Amino acid sequence: MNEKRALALLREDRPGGLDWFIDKYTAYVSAIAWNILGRTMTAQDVEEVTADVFVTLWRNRTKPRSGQVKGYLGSLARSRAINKLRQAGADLDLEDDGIALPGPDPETLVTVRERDETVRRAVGAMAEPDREIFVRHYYYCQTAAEIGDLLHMPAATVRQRLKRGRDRLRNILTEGDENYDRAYQ
Amino acid sequence: MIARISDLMENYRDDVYDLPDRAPADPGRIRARVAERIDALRLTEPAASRTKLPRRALRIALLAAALTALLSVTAYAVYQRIVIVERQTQATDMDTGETQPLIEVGFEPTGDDPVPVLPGVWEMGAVPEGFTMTDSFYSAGFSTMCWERDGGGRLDLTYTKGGNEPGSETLLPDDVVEKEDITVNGGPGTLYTIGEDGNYRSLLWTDEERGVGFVLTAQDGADDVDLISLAGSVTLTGEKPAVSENTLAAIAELGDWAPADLPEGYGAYFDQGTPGSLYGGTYSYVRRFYTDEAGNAIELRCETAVNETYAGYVENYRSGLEHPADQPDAVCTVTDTTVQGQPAGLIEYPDGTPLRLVWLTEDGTVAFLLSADGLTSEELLGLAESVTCLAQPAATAPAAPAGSDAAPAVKDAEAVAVTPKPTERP
Repeated sequence: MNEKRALALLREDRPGGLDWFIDKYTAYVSAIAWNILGRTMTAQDVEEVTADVFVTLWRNRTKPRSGQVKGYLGSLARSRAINKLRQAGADLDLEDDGIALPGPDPETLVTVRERDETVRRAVGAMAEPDREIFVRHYYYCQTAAEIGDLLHMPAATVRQRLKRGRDRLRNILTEGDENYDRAYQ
Repeated sequence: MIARISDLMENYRDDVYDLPDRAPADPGRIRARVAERIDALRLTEPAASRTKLPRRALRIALLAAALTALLSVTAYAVYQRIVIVERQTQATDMDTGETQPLIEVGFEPTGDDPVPVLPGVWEMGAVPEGFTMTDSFYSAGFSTMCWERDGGGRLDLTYTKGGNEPGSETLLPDDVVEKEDITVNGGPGTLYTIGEDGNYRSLLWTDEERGVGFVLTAQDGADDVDLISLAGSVTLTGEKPAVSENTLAAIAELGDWAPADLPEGYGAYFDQGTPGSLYGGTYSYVRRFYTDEAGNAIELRCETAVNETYAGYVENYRSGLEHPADQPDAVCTVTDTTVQGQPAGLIEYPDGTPLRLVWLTEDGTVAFLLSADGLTSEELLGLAESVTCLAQPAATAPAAPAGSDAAPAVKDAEAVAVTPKPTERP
């Protein structure tokens, strides 16, 4: 079975459809949940979020199109895991999370898809370990201290590298895609 | 304008999965949790309101069918009439927000007393040359099977009692190029041809006497198949589905558990299960259905325990139900009790109607989920007390053939133990 057929079965709520997505994407979904929850919560909590993601997929089974399910599940996994952290009273204050963008509303400057693509390229172009640090902090909401423990470096170094990543992302988002390469020289 | 970087990262996809310290969950355990919650949702979510097709022919057929039902009441229990329904709906693209119009077609029971279980088994008598069955599934109110052909062509047959059952709704693209009212085996039907090339066809019809709706779909290069003739070859072949090899293997893995004291008038209807070995894991489940003449159903589900205590199952069940914030008791209540000396949870509607009884074996390896139409909580507890292991799991039974993962359980054997030896855990 391929994703197109599995999605057709899922849309019609027929056996095999949802199971196909669970078998294929449990590792992906639970990895996202684990990276957000794993240092403060239990494996049961990760399982709960993972199951919740697939139940949500079932409830919204008419919405995703073929080729979009993985991204949809990833977004669900991240938001569900972050919500669970918040419910547990975790402090989610991220390092200088705000970034100034030109114009009254960034949505009016570029489409969401264009913006996502720009962010993807910007983060992907970061050198290691800056990229991993950036993803751990701004995607998985891990603290500088947690990242420092994982990567065996002082939290201050993590913060320094995060600032470098933020500056680069800001340059790309504010100066435009045509300056993308220059920003990384 | 200030944007949050964490928000900008929301749709970042590239390598979030590649970080080294991931700990993937077991898909078998996730399947179990998801199935549990969806089961709960099905019980509480009302069917979407639908617009019935205003077809004169259909109304006439319904009147004729009503007379037939009155005459045939002694042959089998009174089954619900069923009609084809259709409505316009839409799907939303998650990325762009664009909507795509769709047609939702399906079946709806027409009375106040829905059929609890499917009253029979239908088979396709004239499978086109070159097609082989690649998938089949039976459940209490829904069955589906699929045939595929090397070089292209796929046929799907689904039958359902309608209402909230899976298969009661089929979504079709909005580009229907032809819609034809037809008759299949005396029942009203509609043939949809989708797309300019017509390579997707879906035929819906009903057996009104038994309250069953059918969907036969041809796609992926099955253009040469005469769908109407094929539908005509779909006939009732038996009252109960045969027990599949997969179900036998699942029984062999879990042990052969069954209630010894069924309420008066109930008999075994069918078993359906999936062995853990099918997915390379250890999670197995078996669902056993028992019915009476009126169509009331009892379901005993036994499965590899994925929670350490019954409380985990209860929590999963409750968390899957829609209820006002901080008021879980508005939808169901939970009473701690015991079954066979083991802690158990009795989930009930607020009016005391039992929804489900959950308990585990003493060694915590097998979980039981028991539900029934028309029984009181006391009767449900009595039924649970009678659940007995008729044959131990094949992995621990001395007589099981070595290496056999499909050793059939001895259903009629004398009860040998209430609690089987532990099976292997993840």
